[in-house]
Amino acid sequence: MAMNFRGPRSRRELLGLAGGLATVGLALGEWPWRSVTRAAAGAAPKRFVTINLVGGWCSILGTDPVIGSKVSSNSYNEAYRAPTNDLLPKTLTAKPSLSVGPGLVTAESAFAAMPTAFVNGVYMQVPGHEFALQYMASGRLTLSSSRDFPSIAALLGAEQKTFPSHVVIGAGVPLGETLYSSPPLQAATVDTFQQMIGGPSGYLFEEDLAADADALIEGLDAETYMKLPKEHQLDLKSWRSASANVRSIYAQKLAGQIGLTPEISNRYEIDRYGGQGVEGPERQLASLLLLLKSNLSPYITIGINGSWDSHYNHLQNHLPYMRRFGTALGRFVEDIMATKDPASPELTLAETTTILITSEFVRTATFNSLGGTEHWSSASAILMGRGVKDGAVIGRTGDDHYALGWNGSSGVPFSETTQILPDHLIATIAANVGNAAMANTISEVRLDGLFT
Amino acid sequence: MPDKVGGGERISRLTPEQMSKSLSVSLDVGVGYFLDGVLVGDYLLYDYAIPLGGLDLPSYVRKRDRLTKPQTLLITRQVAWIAAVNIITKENEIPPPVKTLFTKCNYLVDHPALDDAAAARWRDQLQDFYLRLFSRPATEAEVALVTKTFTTTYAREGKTSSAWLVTLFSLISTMEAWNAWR
Repeated sequence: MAMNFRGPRSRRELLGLAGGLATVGLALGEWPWRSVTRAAAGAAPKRFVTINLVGGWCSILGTDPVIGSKVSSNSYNEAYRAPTNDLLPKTLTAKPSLSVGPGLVTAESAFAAMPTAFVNGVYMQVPGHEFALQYMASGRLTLSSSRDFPSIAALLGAEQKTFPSHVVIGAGVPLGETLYSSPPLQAATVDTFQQMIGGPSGYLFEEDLAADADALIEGLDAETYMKLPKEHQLDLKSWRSASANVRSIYAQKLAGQIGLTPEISNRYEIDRYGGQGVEGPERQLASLLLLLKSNLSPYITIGINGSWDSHYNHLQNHLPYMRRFGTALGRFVEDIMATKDPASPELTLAETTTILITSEFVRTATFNSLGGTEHWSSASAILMGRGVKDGAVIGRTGDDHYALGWNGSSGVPFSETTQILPDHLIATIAANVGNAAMANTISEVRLDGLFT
Repeated sequence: MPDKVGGGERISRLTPEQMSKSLSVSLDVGVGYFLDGVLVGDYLLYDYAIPLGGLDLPSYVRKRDRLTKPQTLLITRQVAWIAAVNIITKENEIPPPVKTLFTKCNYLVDHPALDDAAAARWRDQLQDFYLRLFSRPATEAEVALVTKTFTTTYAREGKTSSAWLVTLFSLISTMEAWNAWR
């Protein structure tokens, strides 16, 4: 019987599995910190974080609640039009321009504390998961091969030309033309990411064992290399140079910087929601905080999987999950407001980081026969943090929940000239976090009023 | 350009799926994951697709990055480590008469410095791993390198399991394990 490769996933689990084979030579928390990324002298870093709610979130429960004339529209399910107390939307006391659905009431403190803008009514022509994910991440639509264009974070990272250019935890992101030049440092979970950059001695091996292995690998590789024809040696040049880089990465002992401490686990209630191995909003946002503090890369993409794609029992599945996300987001914002940026200690992480919270599309306003919702032809997003115009709401949906057009200040009839597309949103972000040239490769249209 | 991208390259790095197959067939390390008893995927692909192949989503397999970057090697070491731990853990759990991988030597006792007979059994075991992983026997130079490391590790740790863990991790981490050439 084959063994389960993924079985020993967490450090805790591996420690238990390997038993007496090896012991942990160093406690993770004791390792020295050293940053890989340096901001240019005197320049505050421009960090950009994407939080992908993978599966398609419900804007009605979030940034686009049923208020005003929508309340009397038959396009919305009765549960939204005549809500029980549990489903009431709320206008934020501190920012009256922002109203949230019942799913994001738990994030009120986050929205109150940081510059926050909502974007609604982004027209999504292809509400299928991978196409829409590509489109919302990159601002460029392709149907023939859906990974042709890089996400905005991959573009920003590639331009920086440092290692790692971009950190991705969770869902895959489109890499497009950055595929060969600047792939991200990526893992499906924070746990595997930590193991990856820690290497064997940073994970479970004692340092002596790791040193034995490193010397043996080097010796065996040299033996192989020596016997290969010259042209084969050239082919393996990148392997050998990467080996030297890996030694350097291990030596920096970065894994200890992104390991969950009991304090952070308790604060984000990670054990309450399934523990370290579960990639829910609590675990992912706690890990995002640690990644930012580690200064590993200014560009981080976190995927939060889970109950977003609620084709059945929407209110029973999607709503509590969004509330969990909102609560975790509140803690995350508190933490980055209280944490100095490691590359620019006179500023907090909240002051140096722009956050994009998005999903590939939103969901229908009516329920199917299973009490679920389907994919809908629009998208919504939240922008927070550095540079964001506080309280802005860009874009609208109509009383039928379809995306309206936008004239820069209010909703207007939808047309090719008034529509808001993902291109426009991503180009606007690129122009403000990156530069105009980069933005213009995506679109020349900007969403005025989204950034200060 | 040292590495070739696309067809016709002299050396190809294994894809995640090829490495999955190799680990499964050669070393009985399973990499599949199951839903309701049905095999639905491959964890190497799921967890490490981008650094191993430049593959950003499992449904888009034709576009791979064949150049070796630090990201790639970080993952190969991670895969090697988990595979080696799985092998050793499994050997620890299986009673001696039915060992599946350590069939040539007494896994818990034999090491190169014990005596000539034990050293011969240990060497046969090493050669068996070479055949499984590389489809060829180890050269004298390679045996000497592994012997030296194994002996050093065993002398310090006092456990053959630790020395085999280092050995297997190292063998699965080598460039030969992850590249094919003709």
